[in-house]
Amino acid sequence: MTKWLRRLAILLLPMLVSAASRASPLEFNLGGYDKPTVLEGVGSLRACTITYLLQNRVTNDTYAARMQFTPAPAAIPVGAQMPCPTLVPPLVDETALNECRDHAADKADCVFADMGRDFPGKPELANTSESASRCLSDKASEIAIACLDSGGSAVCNVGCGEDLPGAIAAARSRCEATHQQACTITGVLPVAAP
Amino acid sequence: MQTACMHDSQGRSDADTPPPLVGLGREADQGWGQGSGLPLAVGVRTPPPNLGPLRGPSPQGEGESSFSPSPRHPSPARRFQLPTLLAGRVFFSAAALLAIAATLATAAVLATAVFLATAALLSCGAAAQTPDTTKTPDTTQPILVLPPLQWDAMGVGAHIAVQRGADTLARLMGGLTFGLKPDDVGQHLPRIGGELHWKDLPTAKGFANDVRFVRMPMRDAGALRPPGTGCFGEPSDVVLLFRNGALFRVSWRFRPDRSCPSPHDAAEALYAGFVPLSSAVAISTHYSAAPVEVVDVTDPGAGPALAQHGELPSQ
Repeated sequence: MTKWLRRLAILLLPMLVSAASRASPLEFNLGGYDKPTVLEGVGSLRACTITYLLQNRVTNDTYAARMQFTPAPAAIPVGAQMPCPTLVPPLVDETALNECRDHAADKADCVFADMGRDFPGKPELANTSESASRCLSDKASEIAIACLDSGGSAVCNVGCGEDLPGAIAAARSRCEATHQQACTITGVLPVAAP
Repeated sequence: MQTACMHDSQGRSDADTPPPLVGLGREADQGWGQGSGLPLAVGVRTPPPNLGPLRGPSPQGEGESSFSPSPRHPSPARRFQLPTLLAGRVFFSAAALLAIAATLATAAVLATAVFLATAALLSCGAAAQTPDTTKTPDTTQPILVLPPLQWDAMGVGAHIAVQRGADTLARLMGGLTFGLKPDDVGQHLPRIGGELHWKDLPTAKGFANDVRFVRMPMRDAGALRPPGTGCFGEPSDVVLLFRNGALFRVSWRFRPDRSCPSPHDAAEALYAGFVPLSSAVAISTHYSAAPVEVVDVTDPGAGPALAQHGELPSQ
């Protein structure tokens, strides 16, 4: 009897090993199936880009102003991306606004595209946010705008996201939370220029 | 939970579908999928089938262990009586087959169960991470992309990063360039009839300086006719403005009529082509003087006339 058990054990051992090796392809490494074959940005570091969305409150035109920054000599890249300034100089905000104003019949028509709760009643620059109207390329890859119609004028908010759905969701939720109405996505754009 | 899993079982979600091209920037820059890093692989791709023991023959050298003893090849050193040997072989074969079947079946069932459970969890997780609001843009209003600026590292000084030159402007304006004399402009626009001479042109109102103009119906504007996007009413026109005997502005005036109550889309489509141009090449402006929508493209060297739009000639 012991002899048979020994034989059975000898027989089962390689079978178990074989079964284990057959099960190994599963690995549950599902993420591995979509690994990029070419790593993006390797060999060419992407400089910081800050993208603003601006709005002409009269014509409802939406503008995107991209600001690219020359990396500081001591800057340390994060992955393939150069970091953006920790504090964005006010001059950059103002320049973005002026880019929109260059195209407006009246300079007062241009505002930042992220608008506060008071904007529909008082549609002026003071009721918009420059910091919420911009996305930085070291933190987001997409910028989106969601708007609602207020008597023929667009009232909007901006969202940043690491991907398209993220930016859309951020813009929509910010708009709906601010204005307590349903908002529609009117545009999405990559933060960095291609 | 059931809904989310059924959603994923369809193999694709809304997030998988490239959005319709949105706006100038979208069309030019979007690069769908580029670097988006969407976690699409998780739970939505079909993994390789786990056929377990039912899979086809393994490539040579894989799978089957050469160590596996076979009843057909007993060790020659073994010495058994024939009946004992036969009985032993029968028992051995049956036990071996049962053991193999049981082992592989168990392994396959366990592996499949774990795989399905993991895939389901990942699918539901992916669905949970993707809110219902993440759908494609609801409108196709363009985002007008301004020329990018290149800043120094301190954020103190900037210049235009990419210059789109006069060639692009000339193409958008049907071959016209700023500074052309009325006679030369007339050669580009034969349909306005006859030769254009500065002294014959009417004076435009609303300008501080002597500004003269020529007007033509938009439908007959030839190369200056806006692209096919959107409609414009019959009274729409194109006005060429001259100062000091030289062309300094082209003004498209989009007017509605019964067949086209809102020419906004046509105006915006035309305007979108000029916005990316450097302000050193052309200054483009879009404004509304209800019910007229105006797109002006002006020579940056026009001086004081740059900020003046003049009166819209009545029809």
